[in-house]
Amino acid sequence: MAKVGIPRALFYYDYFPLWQAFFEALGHQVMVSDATNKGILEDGIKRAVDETCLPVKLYMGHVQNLRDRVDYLFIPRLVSLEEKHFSCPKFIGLPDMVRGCVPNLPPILDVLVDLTDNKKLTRSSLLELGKLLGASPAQVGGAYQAGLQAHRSYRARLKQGWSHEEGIRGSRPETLAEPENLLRVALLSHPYNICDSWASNNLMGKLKRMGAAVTTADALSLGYLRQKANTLSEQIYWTFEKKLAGAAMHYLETREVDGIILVMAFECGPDSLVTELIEREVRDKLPVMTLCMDEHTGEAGIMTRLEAFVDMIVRQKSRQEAAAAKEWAEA
Amino acid sequence: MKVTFPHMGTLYIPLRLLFTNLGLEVVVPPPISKETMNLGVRHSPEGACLPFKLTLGNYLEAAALGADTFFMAQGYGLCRFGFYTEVQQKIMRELGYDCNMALVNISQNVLQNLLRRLKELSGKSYLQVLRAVRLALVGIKVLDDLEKLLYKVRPRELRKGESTKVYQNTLARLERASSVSELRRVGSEGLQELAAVSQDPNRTPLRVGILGEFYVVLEPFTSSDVERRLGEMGVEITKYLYPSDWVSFHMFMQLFRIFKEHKSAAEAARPYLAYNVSGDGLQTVGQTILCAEEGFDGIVQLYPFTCMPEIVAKHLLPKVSDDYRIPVLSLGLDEHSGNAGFVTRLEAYVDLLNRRKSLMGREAAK
Repeated sequence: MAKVGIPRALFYYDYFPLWQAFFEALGHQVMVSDATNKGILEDGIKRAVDETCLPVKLYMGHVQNLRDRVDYLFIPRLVSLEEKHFSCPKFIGLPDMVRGCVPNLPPILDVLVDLTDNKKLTRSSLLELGKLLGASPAQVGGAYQAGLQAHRSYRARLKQGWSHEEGIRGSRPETLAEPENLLRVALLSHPYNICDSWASNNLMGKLKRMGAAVTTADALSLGYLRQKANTLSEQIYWTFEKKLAGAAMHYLETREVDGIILVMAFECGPDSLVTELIEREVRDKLPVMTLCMDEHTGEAGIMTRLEAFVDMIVRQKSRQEAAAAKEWAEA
Repeated sequence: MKVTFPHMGTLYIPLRLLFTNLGLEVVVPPPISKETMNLGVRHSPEGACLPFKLTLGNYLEAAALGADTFFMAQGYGLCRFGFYTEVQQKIMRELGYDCNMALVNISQNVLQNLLRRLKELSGKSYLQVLRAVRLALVGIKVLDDLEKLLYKVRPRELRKGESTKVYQNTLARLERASSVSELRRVGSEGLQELAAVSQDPNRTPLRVGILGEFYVVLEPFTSSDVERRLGEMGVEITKYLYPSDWVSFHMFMQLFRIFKEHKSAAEAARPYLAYNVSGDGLQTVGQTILCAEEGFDGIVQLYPFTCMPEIVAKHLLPKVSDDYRIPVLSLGLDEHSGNAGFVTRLEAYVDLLNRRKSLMGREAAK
């Protein structure tokens, strides 16, 4: 039984249950890096190129946090997760970037996922990974099915409104009846920008404390999001950004939320264009704000902007209600 | 209908030729200037990369001159480039321009897409379109050949600036050429004139490879004309990205399913970067190794600030530079790049290379 390390960063929030089930089905122990802290961030900043995005810097820090206590590091190369759609170039170069920047690493398991140009290679790289861990193709197939199963139930929980953290833990604290929230906000971003409460300055918690119910794009089904995204632009070829665009268009249409907050990492290439497109589409119809974050983002600045945004929505809402009441009285 | 296109180096010459030859009215955007940049930056998303901002600046300046049809490449890929037009179109519409995008998908079947789009724009027959495309391709080849010779002559010239003057003279004449034979004649005259510039035969200039992202390598405005500056400091530069190479690969070899492009560079890069990260990232890493093996003195990597493929490459270059003992200068470019800071860094880098070369020479003599 080997110890397989999975950094608590980047697509951890999208695929951890799948990977965990896969490795455990093969009889290995999965280890996760510590929750982000100052030391991890500082290590990451030291290792990564200074002008790369915060999420990649954090990833490097988490790798360093794990490297001495595991036998293998699992760093997949996610090229394309669906036909003709891709992830960011940095995800594709990730295993190489980690090798180039973090010294004294255990062997890296870098399974390739390219469903556009290299479907065959994707399959064989998974089998190769199994071979490295001493598993037969049949065992790999079984483990893969177990992974998919875990992934499906994770997605189902997210759709029921569980947070990513609760979904990964697999349990949810018993709460009393949901409090009547003053307002509802959609927090649209890559999960790694908003689920890491330390790196995101606890954005989600802050909003909740202000009395807002927060929802994310992962609460909607992927097929639906893809279809919705096409109403904004059929050209979006990044899987993750397509989700965001789809969610924005969904909330614009249904008005299930009172406002949208887009969160992007400074330096994020796909987001720099797609959030612009979303903001331009939404801004005259629904309150929207873009928060751009990096390692220099201060908590006070975030707080001020959130408070201003929430105040604006509350005021707008009460004005609308007053107008509606007046109209009703006159009629 | 007035057609325009964004600038990229000298590409405006063959592109103008292409459209006028098809009987279309063309507006060549004013040469990229500080104003172009300011205009582009003002209307672009803050985090967009420099090529996005400059091409938008080109469109807006051309639109002010009456252009209404914008010719540009588009596609799906990983880097932002394929998505430019989608956002630029929205920005221009919101600014009140009635714009029609004439896009050519370059993800696959480039030649077919190009011919179809041009036929649609001009209403001419495929034969006429093919003829115009051929004319433009000859122009591209002539321009690239001139540039290659210029980089050899410049560091050896006796009177500083002479080769640049000769080159610009030839460009002005090429702008007026209108047939294949004329392009070829002016081109070979230009080559002869460049070769005739008086040079110092005893000089052995430093050899530096210019690598990085396609647009900024080809558009001198973005890098404060790094190639002229290096040349005049006595450095012979070599570039590996030329429009003619791109054309021959993407338009013709693909037709016959020959995928040989940068194969050697990709193979060289494999121990460091094992997968294509789109853009020119893989080539930057691989070509650095090939240049080191060929005995180059240094590498300059040019990229737009926040360029994803080149950032991936930048993570790996320090290790390559150590392993192959070749100094690499990475220059990230955006609207804040200042001339003075740029020149200081180049001078320091060239000083370092010169010193290193003479030290190594002394060691070899021992």
